[in-house]
Amino acid sequence: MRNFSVLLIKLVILTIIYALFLSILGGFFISKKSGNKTWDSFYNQPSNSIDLLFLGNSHIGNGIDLNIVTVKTKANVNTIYSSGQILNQIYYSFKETLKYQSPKLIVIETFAIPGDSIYYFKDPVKESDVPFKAKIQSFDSKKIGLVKLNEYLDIYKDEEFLPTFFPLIRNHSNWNKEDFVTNNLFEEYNPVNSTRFYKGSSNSITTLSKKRVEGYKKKTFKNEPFKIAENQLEYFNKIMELAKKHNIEVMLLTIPYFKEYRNKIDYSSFHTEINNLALKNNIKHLDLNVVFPDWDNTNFSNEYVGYNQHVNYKGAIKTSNYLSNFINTNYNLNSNVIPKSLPEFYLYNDIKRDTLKEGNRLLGNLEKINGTKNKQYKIRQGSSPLVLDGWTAIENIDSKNSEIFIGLKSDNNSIYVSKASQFKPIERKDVSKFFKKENIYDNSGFKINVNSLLLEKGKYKVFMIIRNSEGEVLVKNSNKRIEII
Amino acid sequence: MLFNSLDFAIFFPIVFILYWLVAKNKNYRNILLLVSSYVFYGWWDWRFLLLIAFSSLVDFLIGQKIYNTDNKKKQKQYLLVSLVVNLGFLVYFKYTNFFIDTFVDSFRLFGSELEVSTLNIILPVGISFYTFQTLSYTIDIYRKQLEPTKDWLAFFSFVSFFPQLVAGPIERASHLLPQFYKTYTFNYNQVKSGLLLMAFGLFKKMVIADRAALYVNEVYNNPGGYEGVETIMATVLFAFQIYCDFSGYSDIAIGAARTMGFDLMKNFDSPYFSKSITEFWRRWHISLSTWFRDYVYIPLGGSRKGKYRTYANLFIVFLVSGLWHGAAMTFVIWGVIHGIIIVFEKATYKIRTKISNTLGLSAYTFANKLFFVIITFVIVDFAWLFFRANSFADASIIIQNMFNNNFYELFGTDLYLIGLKENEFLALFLSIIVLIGFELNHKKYNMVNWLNKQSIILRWSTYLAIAMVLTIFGVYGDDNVSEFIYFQF
Repeated sequence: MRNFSVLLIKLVILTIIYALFLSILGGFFISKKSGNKTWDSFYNQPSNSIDLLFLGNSHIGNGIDLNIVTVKTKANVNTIYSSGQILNQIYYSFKETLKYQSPKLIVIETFAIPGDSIYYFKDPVKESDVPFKAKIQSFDSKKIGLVKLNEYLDIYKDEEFLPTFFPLIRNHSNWNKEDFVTNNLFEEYNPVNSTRFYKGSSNSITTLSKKRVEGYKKKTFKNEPFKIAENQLEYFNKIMELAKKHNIEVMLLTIPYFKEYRNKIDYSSFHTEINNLALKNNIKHLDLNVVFPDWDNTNFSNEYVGYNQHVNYKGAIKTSNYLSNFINTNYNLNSNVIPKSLPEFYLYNDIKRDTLKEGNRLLGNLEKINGTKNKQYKIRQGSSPLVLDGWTAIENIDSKNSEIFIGLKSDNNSIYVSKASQFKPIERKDVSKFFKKENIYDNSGFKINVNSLLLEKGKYKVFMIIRNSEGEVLVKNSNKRIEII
Repeated sequence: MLFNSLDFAIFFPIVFILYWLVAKNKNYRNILLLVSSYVFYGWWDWRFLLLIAFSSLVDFLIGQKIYNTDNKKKQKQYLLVSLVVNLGFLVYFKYTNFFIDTFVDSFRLFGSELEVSTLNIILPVGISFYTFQTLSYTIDIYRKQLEPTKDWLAFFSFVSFFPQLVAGPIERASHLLPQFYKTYTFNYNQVKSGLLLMAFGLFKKMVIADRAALYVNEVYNNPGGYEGVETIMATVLFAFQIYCDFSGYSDIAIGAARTMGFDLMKNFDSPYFSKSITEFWRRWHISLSTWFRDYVYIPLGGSRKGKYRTYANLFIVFLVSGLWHGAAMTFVIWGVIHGIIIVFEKATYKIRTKISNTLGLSAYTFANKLFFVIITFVIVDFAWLFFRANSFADASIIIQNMFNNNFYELFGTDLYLIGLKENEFLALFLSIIVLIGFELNHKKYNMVNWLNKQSIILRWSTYLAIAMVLTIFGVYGDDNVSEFIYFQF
């Protein structure tokens, strides 16, 4: 039987090595969504550096722009969210964050607090029926440890063990998606990856179409009084206990609902229930539906007509500004973070910086606005998109690893910073040739497309913004102006 | 329980460990094997267990009855009971609806419509396999080629032995049953070779067969939607699908049995390297071919009753073989095609040899061998078309569409829109090349022995690579778990 024991030991060792390989490679087979990226961003923060932490699901992810909140509160801010996440998952996420950080304030978005149905104002869906894909995003990204194990034991079904702990098994067929695995590998090991400054900010640049607005008008929703699910309430209490133990303040935040939806459900019962919860726990509840009751469709994303709609970037600019002021007024975060890598920092604070310490200047030219070279450009809101063409680079630095933005700042201080999905790189060999610098400005060209519905009416200055691979930002006024009428 | 399922991945290690803990005690071991085999089989539907237990009991008792009487007439009667019970189950579960349909269709030919509805019968998995296995036991006792066993535990374990229960190899009692009387000592190298064979079987099934199936199913389930190169590709891929599916199962079965010290018969011997259909049947599903030879062909007279009777016997065997595979006209046609070609090969053997000699063609040159391998493959593959088609009408459409010329698609990207993406095609073809390379070399060099001689790093890297290839490139998951094709037979 000695041979039998030897074989068993070898098989066990082989299985362990195999499991290790599965774990290591698993991450490269995951289709990274915002929920995964927020955790990546979280783990990249120096320990005990986060002041303000947002917890919730996609509604917090889309409804708040963290760059704005960071700049306006001068706090180090992070979001932990994943689509469909509810309180039981938030509890474990919060627990995990406490291993690395000690935030002064956590903000819980209330759409993650379920009633009879986990997706409230829809037909009841039991907690045990939460789809696997709604649970797994946040779980995938957590580091292995006791918290993760307890979360599995508490929330997952037995048969979900393999797909839960071995994402490679669950996602193995992703190998056949062109460049999927190599892109993930590149993203992981490229120091200039696209998520290095990502904290979970709003990225939605669509506006809810009129057709979908009509869809909301026709659709009926469950219109019964809202009552928080008891089991979920227990998790809320656990979160409160943890927060108290770590001397962390808690705030509840409700992101604006699309009014066609809000008017069809028993919203007041929800508002009251959450308010009561806040009162009972002696915490604040900021309901932005009260602040922004009449938002039109241009403040929401163009997604299918399900139930509550996500706020888009236009809406998030407003919520973030309001929320930041609210936090500054009501909480003392006692921090003075200077977020030099965020373009918003320069625009919101009117800081001019068009030269690096080493003396390299920002070069560039916003050549055309919707094909014209005029210095002033007027456009009717919603009539057509704004297309901005030009080039920009940092003097004597290869433009390959730089990120380019356009900043728009209106006379009444409405600020819009373009998103990566609005940016299209344009090869500009002519720029390199002009400066007699071999190839270094080839990647300096840009075409940025902004839906004019995302901009508030007003007169805007246009800024060219560039961020180099070290995260240093230069900003320059293009001396062109746009008026949205 | 499927071999390519998580259930089996948990079940097998448990059985394996328990097995070697009790291996020294024959009775404990057979109890364990019987219980685990019944768990394995009952995983589909516990009601199937009643059938297999009853069938085992009948053959166990009848075997003794036949042996204990010298009365020829009584022996015949007992054998008849065994045949009626076993074939009765088989016919009822497998062919009732086929006969009803055929009956109704034949009336329709004469313009009358019969209002007869088919029955809602669930076909017990693997019934054709274990029925043939138990039948061979009673027939061999009747023929005085075997003594009946008095060890009911060994017999029940033999009938239900889980590695080969649902899709063979169809073992003879004379070969497998005595292995249940022995005790085994743990043989490290034998277990390792069994595990590697199981891994190779899983590779064939999960990486080749199930991936090819994604393309084949799309084309064969929508025969009117595809033509030319698309249908030819599907038919060629089906040849690999069915081979890898079935031989993959056999590999896992033989490997699993080997890890427990049992020796199951070889079921496949690189059949697509055959140079004639006759040779193909010596290499394909060997356990079934030899079963038909011993229990159908030879009792019919074999080749002892003249040329024409031999041809007729051969033809009958393949007709029955077609029917054994499935209760549908497509399987009958498949059997008939093989029957006709076998008879043709037999009838023209002398004249073909004469022509070859006259032309000075050597059967041993590479070109000659390759030519006949290709011809044989084309014939086998054409017959597979009927085997795979959902109906005779579908097969006709596929054949008609096959001749529409769209060979330019081979150089475009349209093929990648049919079930498999470009890189999936690439992975599939690479896997098939690996398989062909393995089969070509395995006879010359025993791969397991070769691996055993390598350094620990290379050996363990190979094991891990196999596991990772199965994990990443295997087709599995909620939407993709597919049964082995031969389970239905």
